[in-house]
Amino acid sequence: MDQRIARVSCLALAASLLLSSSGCNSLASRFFAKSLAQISTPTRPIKNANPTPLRPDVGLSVLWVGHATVLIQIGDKVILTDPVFSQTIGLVSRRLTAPGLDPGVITRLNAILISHIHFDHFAFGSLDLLPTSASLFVPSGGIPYTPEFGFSNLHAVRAWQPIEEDGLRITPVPVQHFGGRYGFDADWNSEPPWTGYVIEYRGTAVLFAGDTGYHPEYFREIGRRFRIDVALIPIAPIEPRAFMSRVHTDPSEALQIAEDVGAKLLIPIHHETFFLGLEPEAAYARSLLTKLIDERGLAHRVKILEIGEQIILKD
Amino acid sequence: MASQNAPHSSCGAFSFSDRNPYFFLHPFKARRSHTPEMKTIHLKSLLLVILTVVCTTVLRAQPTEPPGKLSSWLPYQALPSMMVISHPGDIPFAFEWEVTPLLYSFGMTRKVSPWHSMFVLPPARFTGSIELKVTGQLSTRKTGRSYFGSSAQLIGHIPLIERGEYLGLNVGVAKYAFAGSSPWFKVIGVSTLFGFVEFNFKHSSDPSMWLGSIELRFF
Repeated sequence: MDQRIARVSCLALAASLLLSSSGCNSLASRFFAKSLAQISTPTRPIKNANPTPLRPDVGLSVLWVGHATVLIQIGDKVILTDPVFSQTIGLVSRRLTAPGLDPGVITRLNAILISHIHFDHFAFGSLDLLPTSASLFVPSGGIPYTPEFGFSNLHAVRAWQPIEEDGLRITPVPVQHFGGRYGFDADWNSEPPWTGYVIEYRGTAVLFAGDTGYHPEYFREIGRRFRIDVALIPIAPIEPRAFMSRVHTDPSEALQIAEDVGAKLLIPIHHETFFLGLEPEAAYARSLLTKLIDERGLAHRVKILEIGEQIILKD
Repeated sequence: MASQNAPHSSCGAFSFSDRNPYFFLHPFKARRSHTPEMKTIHLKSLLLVILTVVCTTVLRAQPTEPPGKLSSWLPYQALPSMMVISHPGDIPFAFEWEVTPLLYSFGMTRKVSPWHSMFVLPPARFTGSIELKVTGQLSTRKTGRSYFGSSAQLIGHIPLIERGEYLGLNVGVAKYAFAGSSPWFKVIGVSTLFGFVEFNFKHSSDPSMWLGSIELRFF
């Protein structure tokens, strides 16, 4: 009897493990293997990180902290997108390059925009490092995942429903992405937990696309509604394209989005910071984009920032 | 229900023949015997309280549930946790299945209800919570007269790193019912990997009695 129970128990366990791994495929295992291989790779340091990125007033400045983390200042308003300062994301994907900014130098902050709830965009520990005077914007589907950080406001945002605070107007815009936070919770969201944002202040408009696949109708509609000065658009991960194309734009699609929204300037984001795809090298997306810029003569409409680099676009 | 004088089982599972297992229910009273009827009343009362709490919570909490929740919840709930049970001369291994009738979360934004029942997203637990959970065990050996056991546990989850997503502390109490006994255990452990994995150690006031478990927690 004991042996029979033991056999049944072992079969139940095996069936359970099989069930739990049913969501896995060769892509997941390849990604995991490559992530593990990256763990021993040292993180590339940032030299001469800007210790004073904030000004009393500026027309428009953009500092790429890395990945989708961008410090934007328009006039006297300071906005930070998808803040991630941690060494790893999701415990397995190691940072390739150190953050381009010490979060301690962000002494004032008006808005923190969260595009979606994946680890590389919504990092709990990083949010704890920021001034609580800011307002936190989270897609409404991500609210059940949001701890109490103590920020002055928490806005649960929905596409095309703008929120205005002291003249700073934040409009969530639809993008195309996927999933919950942990994979198995993808079906738990009654509303999409992902969004993009258009930030408007003093006649300047910045599009932060967060993480998105190419969806022509969405972006053309954004172009119809706003006059975008700067578009922050992801260009990676790229491979394997069969899977990534639905949820991540490649450099060619990023250029198309910039065209669709009528952006005066495209600044690529979401590359060279974390290992997230199966590209042959970290700079793969950058090299593809550079090639396209040269072929199409778009040097005046695309600015590839280095991690930690700040650009003043309007004084 | 086993009486105080229940004989040792042949496989040497739990034996409380030398003490009153219900002593732990009345720590401030002297040891005294309880009849099997009284033990049944205790367990029925406990089940009644749990049932009332579940019904109240389900009716009040989370009025709008997303579609597709149940189909993703069920398979993950079917995944068993693993447990070893001490007793002299043998360490039986058991599978354990857990559900959360009630959880009060104190680490999440106030925009969502702090009360959760059955369907619990990991952050609601690991960012700081008090959880009432009910478990069932299937042992690979007979413990007492049966292969089956159950427990009710009250566990506090305290976040340590990344709001508990990387590391959290678990403390609490558990009341197990197996081997014809229902002892109380003190629980201490850690949770890691986004709250998916918990390593818990449970110890009764009897030094020879402990449980060690690796618990898989998804919802």
